[in-house]
Amino acid sequence: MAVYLLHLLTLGCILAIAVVSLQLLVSTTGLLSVAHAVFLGIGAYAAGIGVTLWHFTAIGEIGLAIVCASIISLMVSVPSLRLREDYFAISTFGLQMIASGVLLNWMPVTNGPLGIGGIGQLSIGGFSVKSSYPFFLLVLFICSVAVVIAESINASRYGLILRAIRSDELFAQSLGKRTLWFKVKIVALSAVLTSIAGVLYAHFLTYIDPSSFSLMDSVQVLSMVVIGGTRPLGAVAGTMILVLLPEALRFLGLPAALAANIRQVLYGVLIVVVVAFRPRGIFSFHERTAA
Amino acid sequence: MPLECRRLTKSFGGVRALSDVSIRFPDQGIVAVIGANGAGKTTLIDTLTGIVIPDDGQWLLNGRDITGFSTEKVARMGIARSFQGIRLLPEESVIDNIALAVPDRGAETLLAALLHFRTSTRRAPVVREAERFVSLAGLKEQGSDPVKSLAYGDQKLVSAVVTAATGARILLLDEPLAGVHGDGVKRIIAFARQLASSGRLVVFIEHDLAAVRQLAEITVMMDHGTVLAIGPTEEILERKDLLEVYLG
Amino acid sequence: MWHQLLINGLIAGSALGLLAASFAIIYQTARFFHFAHASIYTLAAYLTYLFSRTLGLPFVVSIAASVSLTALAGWLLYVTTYLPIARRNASSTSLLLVSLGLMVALQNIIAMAFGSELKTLPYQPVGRAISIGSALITWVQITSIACSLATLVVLAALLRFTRIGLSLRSVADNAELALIIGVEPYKVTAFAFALGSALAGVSSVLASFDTGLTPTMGFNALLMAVVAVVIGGVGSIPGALLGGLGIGMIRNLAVAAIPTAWIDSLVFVILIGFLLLRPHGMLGEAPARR
Repeated sequence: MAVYLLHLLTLGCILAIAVVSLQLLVSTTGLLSVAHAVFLGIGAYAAGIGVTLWHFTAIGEIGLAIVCASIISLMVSVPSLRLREDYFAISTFGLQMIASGVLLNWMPVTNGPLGIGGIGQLSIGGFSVKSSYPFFLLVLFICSVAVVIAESINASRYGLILRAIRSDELFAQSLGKRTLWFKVKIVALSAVLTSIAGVLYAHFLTYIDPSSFSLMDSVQVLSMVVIGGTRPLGAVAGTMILVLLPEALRFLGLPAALAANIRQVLYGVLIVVVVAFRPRGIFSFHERTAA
Repeated sequence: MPLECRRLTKSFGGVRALSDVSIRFPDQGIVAVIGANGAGKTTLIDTLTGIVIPDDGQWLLNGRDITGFSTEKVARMGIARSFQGIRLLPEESVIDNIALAVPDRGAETLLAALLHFRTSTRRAPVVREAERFVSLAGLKEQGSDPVKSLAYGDQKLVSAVVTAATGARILLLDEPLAGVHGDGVKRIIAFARQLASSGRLVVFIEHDLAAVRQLAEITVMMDHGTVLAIGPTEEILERKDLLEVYLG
Repeated sequence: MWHQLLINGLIAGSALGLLAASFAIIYQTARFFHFAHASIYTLAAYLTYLFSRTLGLPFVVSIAASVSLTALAGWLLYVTTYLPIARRNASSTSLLLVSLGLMVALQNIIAMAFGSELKTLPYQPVGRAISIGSALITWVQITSIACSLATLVVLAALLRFTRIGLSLRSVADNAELALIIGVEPYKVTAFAFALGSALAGVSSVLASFDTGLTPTMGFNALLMAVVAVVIGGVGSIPGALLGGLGIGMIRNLAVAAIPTAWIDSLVFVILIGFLLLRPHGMLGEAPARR
């Protein structure tokens, strides 16, 4: 039981890094990404390929993940953020769709539907994180760092400017703020943090395949953000709730496929219910109508 | 010639909002732009601040063509504007709204946000500058109140202060006095005078001729998208023919 | 070879154009991206499957029944879920999020009810086909194109000549103005949901003859439709049709040039290209800056 609990807590902390990152993006900019599982996947594949092909250590894996996640995030954010905010959601929707295609079909790199196995332990500067307890501590540490980063951005001048952009972009522009770049950079930061979670995820699972980074996984991350509310620690709590809650389904003895469906229905319904009954939550803001 | 527009023309779906408008602005001082609704006053400012792209004509700043530059680029070149409707962050304090406008590019990077935990919103030089503006405008008592709790006239004043706090040398105020009464008008006028006395150019759009008379050295009168007259305020406001057009 | 690809493109494109137009009709009045349209689309195909295969009803009856039920489902989604949330002054981002939640929930409910494996709709005249040039075209495909065209003609007539069509266009142009002239936007929007869902239903049934049914079919189709709407010009129904036809064509013609697996990526590249170079699409009006 303790091993099982440690397993769940580790998984929760890894996902929480991604959830805190998405929550940072949403709460500061109001932008909706439906592709955060893709950034998780980018990190996981960077780790998987880095370790199995080139025997990377943690620094190399994270470096590769950061480079790839930044490039992909720029490809999505720069064209769409110049337009109305809905276009960002649409572009991430598109990214989610092609990501699954690329992971499945780019055989020489991703090994397609077979995935990448034998990823093994994370090694940092000659030491490898062998057992699950130190690995949990490492994950917990990185998760805390993510929370601190999110909090400092909220409290910073950068955060104030992002709030200004969210509430009235033209006002921010009239003060000489380069609003596009403020948004592009926060999207990139969110993507990069999520990809680091992906690196940890790969070492946690030791085997990765495209099915772990689908639209449903992105929606799962989103629903955790929605449950979590506007503060980073809330996002961590939201993640833990949604990681632990469906575990109860296990004890009902349902077939695995059905349990997966029920879990996803739960995520979907939770999003609707929370938005409906907490209209002043994370996604609420009055849109300014042009005078 | 620091700021100048040449032969500006803009139509909206067949309606001429600006037609062949050329104005040379003085180096500093206060300029009023007057005219009936639909005369093209706001469109004039909009073409300078990247909100409307003119069909034809140019804006020149120190001889450089800046036509069609984006709002943020124009602002960074030292031309800031306010809006007819109040555009501020209603939830944030007066000081934070003003501090937001004070340029502090060093603190506006992500790295700074990550390194200066809780300090970069309120960096001393920025806050000092913001406080200076607050006392200049006589808003000291309301400094830490959220903007939405202020009276309408005070919000209009904050809006002008925010525009000035960008450090711009050229300030465009779109109806800074509209809907403001009594004491509020006096404070906004006093603030505008202080800005001009520090060597800035203040261009404001106004309907209230009494305020124009008090404040503006030069007045531009517009009608149906054209400049009807431009000259010293006393002269313009004396001319009966012009006033007839203005009052309809 | 080219003839065949062209005809396949036309078939896929007309169904996609129909879906894109249905999405655009809803978007125009509701002003948010209704992702749950994907599940509505899927629902229509599965209802047809249920009526014709499981209950053994005649085809025409099954299709008519499932399209009507789909229209009802779309209307219900709006009236029971979106409308109360929109009334609390929610932003278009929250509505988009709600639609995503609905999409996921409905898609999984369909998967639970019918299973996740591929299903096919039966059709009788399998063997017969006629040839045009070097291409073969089956009667089902001809019927499919004819149905798309007929639906579009009916739609165009409805929008142009009927009272409800006029209200729809007036709400799309300016909701406040519509209110002044006595049209209640929410009623019109509810109608747009019903109409759009019915059109999506037709598109779905036509496509499912060709490609079969899976619970995720709606997600993939809707994504293509959204791309079609963007490249056609958001807010333009003819643009959406044209975009749908274009995407359908490109997807089929590209088969000759690149491996099938990469076609979705190509469509994504086209989307990004349009966002960069022509964000108002082919027929949309250039967005005025505030």
